[in-house]
Amino acid sequence: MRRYQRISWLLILIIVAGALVASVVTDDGPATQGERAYEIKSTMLCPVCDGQNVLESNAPVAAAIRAQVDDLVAEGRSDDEIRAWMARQYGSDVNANPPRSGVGALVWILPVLAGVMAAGLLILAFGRWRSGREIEPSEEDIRIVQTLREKN
Amino acid sequence: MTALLGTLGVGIALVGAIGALTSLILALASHRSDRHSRALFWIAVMVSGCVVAVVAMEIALLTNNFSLTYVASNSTESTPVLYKFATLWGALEGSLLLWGFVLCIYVGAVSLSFRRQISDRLVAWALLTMLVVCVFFFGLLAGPADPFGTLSSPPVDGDGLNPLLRNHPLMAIHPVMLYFGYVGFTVPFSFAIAALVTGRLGEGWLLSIRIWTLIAWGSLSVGILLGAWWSYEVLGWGGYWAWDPVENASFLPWLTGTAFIHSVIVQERRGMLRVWNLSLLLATFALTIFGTFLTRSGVIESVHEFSASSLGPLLLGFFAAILVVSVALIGWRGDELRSPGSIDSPLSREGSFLANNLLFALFAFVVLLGTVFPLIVESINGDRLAVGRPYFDRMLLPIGIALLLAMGLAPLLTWRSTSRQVLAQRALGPAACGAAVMGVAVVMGAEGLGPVLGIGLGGFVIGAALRHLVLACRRNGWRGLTGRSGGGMVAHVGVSLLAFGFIASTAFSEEGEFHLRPGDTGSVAGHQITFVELTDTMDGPNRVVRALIDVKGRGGYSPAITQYPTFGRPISTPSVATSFVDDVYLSLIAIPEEGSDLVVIRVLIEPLVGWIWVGGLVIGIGTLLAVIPLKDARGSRREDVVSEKAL
Amino acid sequence: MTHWSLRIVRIFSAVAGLVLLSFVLLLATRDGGNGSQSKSPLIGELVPQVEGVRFDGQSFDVDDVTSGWVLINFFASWCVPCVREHPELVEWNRRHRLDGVVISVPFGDTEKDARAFFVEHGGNWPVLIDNESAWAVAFGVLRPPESFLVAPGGVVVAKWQGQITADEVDRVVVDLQERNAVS
Repeated sequence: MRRYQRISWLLILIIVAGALVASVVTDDGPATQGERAYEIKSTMLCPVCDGQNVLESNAPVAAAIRAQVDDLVAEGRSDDEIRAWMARQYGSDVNANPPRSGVGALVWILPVLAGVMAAGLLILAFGRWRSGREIEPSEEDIRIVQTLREKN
Repeated sequence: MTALLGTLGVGIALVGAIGALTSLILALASHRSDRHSRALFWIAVMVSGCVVAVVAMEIALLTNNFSLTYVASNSTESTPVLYKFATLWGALEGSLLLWGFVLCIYVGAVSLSFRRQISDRLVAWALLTMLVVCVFFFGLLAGPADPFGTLSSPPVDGDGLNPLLRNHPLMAIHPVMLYFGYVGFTVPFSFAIAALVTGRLGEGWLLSIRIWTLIAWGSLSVGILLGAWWSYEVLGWGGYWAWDPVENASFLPWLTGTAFIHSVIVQERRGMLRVWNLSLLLATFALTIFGTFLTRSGVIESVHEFSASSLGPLLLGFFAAILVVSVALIGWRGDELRSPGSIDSPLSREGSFLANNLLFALFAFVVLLGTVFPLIVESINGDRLAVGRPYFDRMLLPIGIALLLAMGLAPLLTWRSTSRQVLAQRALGPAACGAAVMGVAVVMGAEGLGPVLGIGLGGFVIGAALRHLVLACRRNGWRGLTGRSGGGMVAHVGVSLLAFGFIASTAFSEEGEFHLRPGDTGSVAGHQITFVELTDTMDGPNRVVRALIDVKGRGGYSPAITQYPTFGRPISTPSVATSFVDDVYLSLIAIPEEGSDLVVIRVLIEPLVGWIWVGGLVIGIGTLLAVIPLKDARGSRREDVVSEKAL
Repeated sequence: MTHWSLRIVRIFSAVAGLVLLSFVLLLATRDGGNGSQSKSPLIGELVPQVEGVRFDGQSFDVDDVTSGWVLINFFASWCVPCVREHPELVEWNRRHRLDGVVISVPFGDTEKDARAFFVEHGGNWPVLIDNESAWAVAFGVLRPPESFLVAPGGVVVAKWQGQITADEVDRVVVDLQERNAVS
């Protein structure tokens, strides 16, 4: 029984590892001009349509930006150049990706900080729980747990 | 006449709410238990007043009474009846009226179901809290957001709703569902406040509102998904979720609410996490008000936004009041919120719930931060920046994957602690299921570490949920599917289906844009489409252009594009060839020149997108299953409140 | 619960409350709204390139007319404010027959509809088709109508979003003329 279990787990691990490796190997970034333009359009917000990106919007300005992105990509401009140009023309809030520098970077840093802090607190709490004295549940707690157990 | 009736209704409702509030306060102050039932009379007054107001508004809408400002600016004679009916929640004032109505339903139902315990201080304080909320909303309706304002010279015809809001029947259901969720959280919130005020912080009150929390949560889940489905079917860009501030505003209470319905189990079983659970309930309600503020004050620009109004400061003030009261109460009762017991091992059921909660809290933090960050930065240094989908995708992917892992592990773990051997034995089946799903996905062409991992973990979650359900059904027959654990596991299956659909349709979608004349074909991702013919008709004043497209193997579909004279740019109405494997999403992206038959059509192939809606349905069913046995256990549920009083 | 952890709960709730309340204050005190004359990075810059073939077949380059005032108007035939402001453009054009010119550029519109628009509403100034929307992006046009005033010499001096009147434009013209006379 144990041997059977061990072999099964090994098999599962092999499949998962194989699938994950395959998923990384086959994944390629935007290569063609079309894919690059698509990537830029999908991460650029239409300035008049409240949060829709230019790829999806029907507004004339979105059509204008789409046409210009295609042109600029065909001219061989880099992604950053195109984004910077559009930000100059329409304001920095056309880029759906907040900047990674200045005050804007906080939006990237704060969640990571919060995550690390939460994990730290959790580890601390488990440490205290393990070492700390056992607090006995009150009678009320026991009663409630019991009524629930009876019910389920 | 109807305007007068409506104003009268709102007035009566406000008087009823104030009356009920006053009589409860008097009763609580006098410590006489026979006075509480007077509040019931006033609550009945409030509910009937609100019903009168809603009926008056519906009559005005259905009879095209354009002397009402609301009807004149949001309805037209030519609007189909269903949408006339739904115009009640199509604009600011009406939607607040619906809010009040749903609130009345909840308050009425709560006072009916607790009418025998109304002299119980906990119940009285809970009702009192709900009535404060009622007074606030009916106060808004009576003054700053009066839906029954009249015009001295009524127009012959009204302006009509934004055309986007009147071309799909989901418009009639989605907001109502959403409101039942949103408003429903008032009930657990009120009980939480009552528990804090009365100091009855034991678990009794939680048990007595379990069903209410579940109903609110289920309605909110279904409401959000119906909204996603609506934008998929109507907006024409092939997406269903844009991380738009208003969508986020509905999603935030869902996140904290979901965290609550999980962590409350730990409190019921082990008496732990009391501060945390109370905070979650208070936060959930505060977030619903905050979301209302965001959508109705014009602070944030959004497709969903109602026209800017003077309600902003009032809603903000209410939000601030909720915050102050909540924080003060928790700080005050801090010493009585002690948690007995401890979590012995991270590898235990409660350990996994704790992980789940931290992840949900982090998730909510990211969504909240992303939503309000542009506002904060703008007021700090005047910079305008946007936080859009790429941000949310990147930040939430790791959290989502960790959540799926916790979701799969939790049902396999036992309370207190689980040994590695037991876990290895229990997890074998689910892990095999996950590995199989992952393998199939890669063979089918899935790529990218995140998506493949997510899909594999989705398989793991389904495996774990099915394992639980099979064991439970072996023990209890079909009843194994019910109850919080059974229904919960069914909901987990739904969430996994939804995750499959979400991941596949975001990560593996393909699109093409074609300029076609009749007879031309184009192909994208193995789908061949043929443009058959164009029809160009006038529907009243609107020019409707329809292209008949043959999708090979799926039949004919006709996406359309309409030019409304009163609405600037043309509105594209997509047509979707749905299947279990993928959707072929067709939309016209420009109105063809008159006389020309050249169409520009966007074709989007979205794999598994239909699974999202199926997943939503399964989540809804799971919620219903979770509610069922609670109804049977009603009698004993009531005793919990009463017996606790004796302590 | 020990005294220590009680204090933690209190500190936590106080901090959370303060953070949230300052956020509320921040929302309550922010101001919004802007006038119809708008900011644009173009103001103070040389006018971007606008050249092409007019509806009447002649070729046109904006640099040839920057000796006088130029009012560049982005419009669409389906846009109601554009229809409403059109007589004002006609009026401004009449006033500045000698020292200025209006240029119209259809934005989000078809050439056919734009031609029909001019046949219906009049106006005999250059109308140019913006291929690939390069000008619209160069001018940062958001939604029609949008107008840019170019002073003699070719520098953009004002931008309007939405409907304009001839008087409104002339206020800027007169203002600048006076300032130039002083200096």
